[in-house]
Amino acid sequence: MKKFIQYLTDIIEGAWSLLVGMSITMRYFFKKPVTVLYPKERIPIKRFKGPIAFVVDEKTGDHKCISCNACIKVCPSRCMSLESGKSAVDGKRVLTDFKVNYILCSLCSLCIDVCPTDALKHADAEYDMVATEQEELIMDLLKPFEDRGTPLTKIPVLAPGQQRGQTPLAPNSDPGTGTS
Amino acid sequence: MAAILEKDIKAWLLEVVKADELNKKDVKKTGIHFEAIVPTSKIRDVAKEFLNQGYFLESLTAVDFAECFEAVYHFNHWKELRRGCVKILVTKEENKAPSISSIYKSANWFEREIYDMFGITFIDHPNLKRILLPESSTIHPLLKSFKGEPAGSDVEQCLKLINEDKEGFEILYPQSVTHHQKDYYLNLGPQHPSTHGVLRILLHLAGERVLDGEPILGYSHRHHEKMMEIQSYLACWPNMGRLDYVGAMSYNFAYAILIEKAMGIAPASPRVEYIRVLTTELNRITSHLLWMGTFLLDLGAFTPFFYGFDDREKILDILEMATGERLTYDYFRFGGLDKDIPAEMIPAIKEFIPHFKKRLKDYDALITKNIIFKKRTRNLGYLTKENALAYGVTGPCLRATGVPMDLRRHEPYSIYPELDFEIVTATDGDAYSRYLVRMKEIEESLKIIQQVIEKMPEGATILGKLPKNVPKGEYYTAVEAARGSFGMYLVSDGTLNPYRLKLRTPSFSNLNSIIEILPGCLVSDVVAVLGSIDIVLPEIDR
Amino acid sequence: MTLGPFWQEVVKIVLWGTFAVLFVSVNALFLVWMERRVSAKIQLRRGPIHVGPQGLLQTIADAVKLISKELVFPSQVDKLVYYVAPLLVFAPVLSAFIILPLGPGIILRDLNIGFLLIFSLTNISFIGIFIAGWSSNNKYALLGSMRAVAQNISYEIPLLLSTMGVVMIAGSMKMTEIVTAQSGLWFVLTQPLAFLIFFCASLAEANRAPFDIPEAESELVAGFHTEYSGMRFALFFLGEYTAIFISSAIAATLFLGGWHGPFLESLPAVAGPFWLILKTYALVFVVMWVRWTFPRLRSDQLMAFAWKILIPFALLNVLSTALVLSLCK
Repeated sequence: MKKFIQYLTDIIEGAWSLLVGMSITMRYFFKKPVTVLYPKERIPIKRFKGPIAFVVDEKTGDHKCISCNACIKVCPSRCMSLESGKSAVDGKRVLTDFKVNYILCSLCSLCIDVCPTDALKHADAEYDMVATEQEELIMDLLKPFEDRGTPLTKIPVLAPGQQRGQTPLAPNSDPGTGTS
Repeated sequence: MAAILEKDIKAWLLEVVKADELNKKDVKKTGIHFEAIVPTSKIRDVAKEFLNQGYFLESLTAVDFAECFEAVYHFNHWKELRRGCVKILVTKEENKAPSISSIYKSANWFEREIYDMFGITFIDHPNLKRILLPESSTIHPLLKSFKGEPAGSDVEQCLKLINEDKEGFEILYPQSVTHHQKDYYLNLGPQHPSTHGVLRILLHLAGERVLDGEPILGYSHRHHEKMMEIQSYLACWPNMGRLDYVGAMSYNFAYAILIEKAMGIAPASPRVEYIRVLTTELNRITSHLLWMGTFLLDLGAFTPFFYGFDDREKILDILEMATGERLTYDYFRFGGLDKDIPAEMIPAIKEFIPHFKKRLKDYDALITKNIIFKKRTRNLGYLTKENALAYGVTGPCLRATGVPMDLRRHEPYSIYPELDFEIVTATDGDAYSRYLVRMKEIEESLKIIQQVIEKMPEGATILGKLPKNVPKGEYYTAVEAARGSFGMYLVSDGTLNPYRLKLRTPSFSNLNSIIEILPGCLVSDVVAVLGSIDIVLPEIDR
Repeated sequence: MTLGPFWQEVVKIVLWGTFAVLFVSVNALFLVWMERRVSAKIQLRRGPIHVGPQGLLQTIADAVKLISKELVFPSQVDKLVYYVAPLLVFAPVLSAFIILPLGPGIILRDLNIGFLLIFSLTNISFIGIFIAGWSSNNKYALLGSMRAVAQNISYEIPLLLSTMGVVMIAGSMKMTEIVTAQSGLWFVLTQPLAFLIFFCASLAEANRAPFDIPEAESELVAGFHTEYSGMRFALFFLGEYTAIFISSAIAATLFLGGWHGPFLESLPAVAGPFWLILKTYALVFVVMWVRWTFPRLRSDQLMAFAWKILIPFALLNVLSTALVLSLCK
């Protein structure tokens, strides 16, 4: 007899729980959807890490990189590469090329942390970062500065093996192409 | 063996086993109470004695030194922190060690992994096959002499792998050839909607009842442990986020604590600790919500997945405010954080909590009390307390069997001793209890978050100058990740890169216990049980 | 020029047949759209809204896609059986239109076995499911079809038993007479238990959640139709949605008063179908609502539910109806 009562109470409790469940989904039926109709509506990106970019120095309007290679050494994905040459004017290191392969970058910010001059930052992230060729995603960080013609990009650079006094190469050209 | 008081295991090791060395260690710095080097022939007696005393095998790994291999056994007790490290030296010529898999069932897979990575064979192991690399490979990657070239040309290796999958399957598992009898083999995965990741379980079925289930791993193996040996300590941060991508903050936490203890530095200010706990607990909630959604998806209920993800998106927005990332976090640094939290984060959390509490009530009514859900998960997938400890299961799966072991109280770290929360346990070890434990843990995490927000002090979050290198030595840290106890064992030789960094991931041992749970289930139950254990494949395969 | 009675019948059958086929296609299209929108609303999403007004033409776009897909033909299947299975699943459900009373006097054939014809013919569709799984030469499909067979056999009994109460009160199995017997009080009020049992059993017959073990997506990849792609898969789908519609229509006729409605009785040709369609789609909405709320039952729990709960209660219902009727006489 007890088992029979148990059987009946199980059925009643079970049926009640099913009805409660259905009432909850009915309540959600009348709520507003939480999805966003991308690409017509976009949620503003607040602080998502974007691609690596150079910081523009407020005083000089130039980049702050001193070619110390700290970021290259720390990058776990080995996606950064830089080239530098000796300045023909005062023999200091001048940055001639800085590329980040964004396909490999894991957005860990370690390069930004170890930079001694705080020359790197995350640019603003975009939703539409797509490309059809791999080459398009290799970012040239020096290009915005070269396009504006900032002073650091105009320093004439010696080819490897050249001494000061010899005719330097054109400003920031590829030092490996050969003789002047 | 006469009854030995628990504290005197060190004395027993010295006198009876005649350990070659026994060093007491500073548990605050290294995480282990003592370290003993015992003769190779005595390791089985040592393991039996530890088992009698109630210890479980937390981790078993090997290290490749120039003179010899060292097989390192970490034993721990579930009542309180009593981590002891026992080592045996295996010479390179002999390359053999006795297996303790008959004593500790968890050693089965650990030893297979050592065989896979180092080439050390274990005598009397019942099933010494490779576990992470394919059966046909010939390399042992974690040896220091291995520089990264697989044996044979690429085409040859590929053809071997293809053959292995097609015909090799029947060679390795001859019983699987169809012979029109009552039992047959069915592959659950690796492409399957319900294995959480790329997992393959070879089910031996009779009708719809499972006779045996063997998980086959290695489909997401990227070899983090070797990656971390060739990078500097700082460059290992992204690896931590990619191991268990669902609950990545705890992994960051473990690494930060490990290196801070080893270097002997403290976090920049108490604010760092509070933010670390805040983000870790938020991450724990997102991990449990994802688990709940996918568990119910396996059972056939499609809607709680969406509700859970709606809540999860709100938390991810909050965490994105702080860290800039949504899934694979690497927010912590040695001695502090990557950057401080913005001012709008705390008001956002305060707004979120009451909304989420109402949602939890909805989940309770929609799922927990639902009769169909109860029928699918109650009295199913029993894991007994003894089996759980034998397999080294930790986390909610262990707490659902009744063992109150939560590393936030067992081996307290950070500011958890000051916070008020309970350890959630349940008494049956079935799938329903595991579900209840995790849902209750979400509420406990909310409690912790509320306390942290009230008490959060001001302070610096970035430590300026770090010591150059990690001092030479061996260190072990464990934290309570969403899935269990995540342990890291570091052997450092004072140089810029770690010498050996072993990742003791919780899902590896949790999945091991499925061998005991599966026999007797139906095919539908396999999916339910697998879902209730909550595994994430990348952290199993590393 | 009036046609003889024979030719009149032929024209009637041809018209009804065309109507049935067209209606089934349009209805399936509409039901797929409805399912997607209902599930999206429950899950706080939007569903298809772009293709056509409110996304109504989405299913047509999907159908075009399915037709254009490569018909993957696995090499190891049992060829004849593999071809025939989808047809067997889809064709019998069209038979339901023979006995469906759309309005007073609007019915193709008022058979005196009524709805029994439908339930007998839909058993053929289960043979289709069974041989679909068997011929696919795939263990997952086999498991799915075995479960489907067991499920069908178990749920036929409560399905028919629950309708016995209605038949006893109406005094006949003819659909028109059952509907006329409801002009005063709908049978759902006098036979609530039978209605619930009929509803559950028809969910199980149509392989809908929470009884959708044979095509359990998360366990068996896709159950008995794992190996079907393109148009053949579409036929299985069509069969399932039409079965839902048919079960709801028969439930509406048997329990909810058929083509009776509170007003518009003055235009029987329009009001009758209108009310029937309305009630049918209300029941279809409940079917979808149930699907998206609950997890699915395991196959042995499914059997236990049928044999231990539904059948005893259906028998109880029959006995009590008989008792009450004999007392009232």
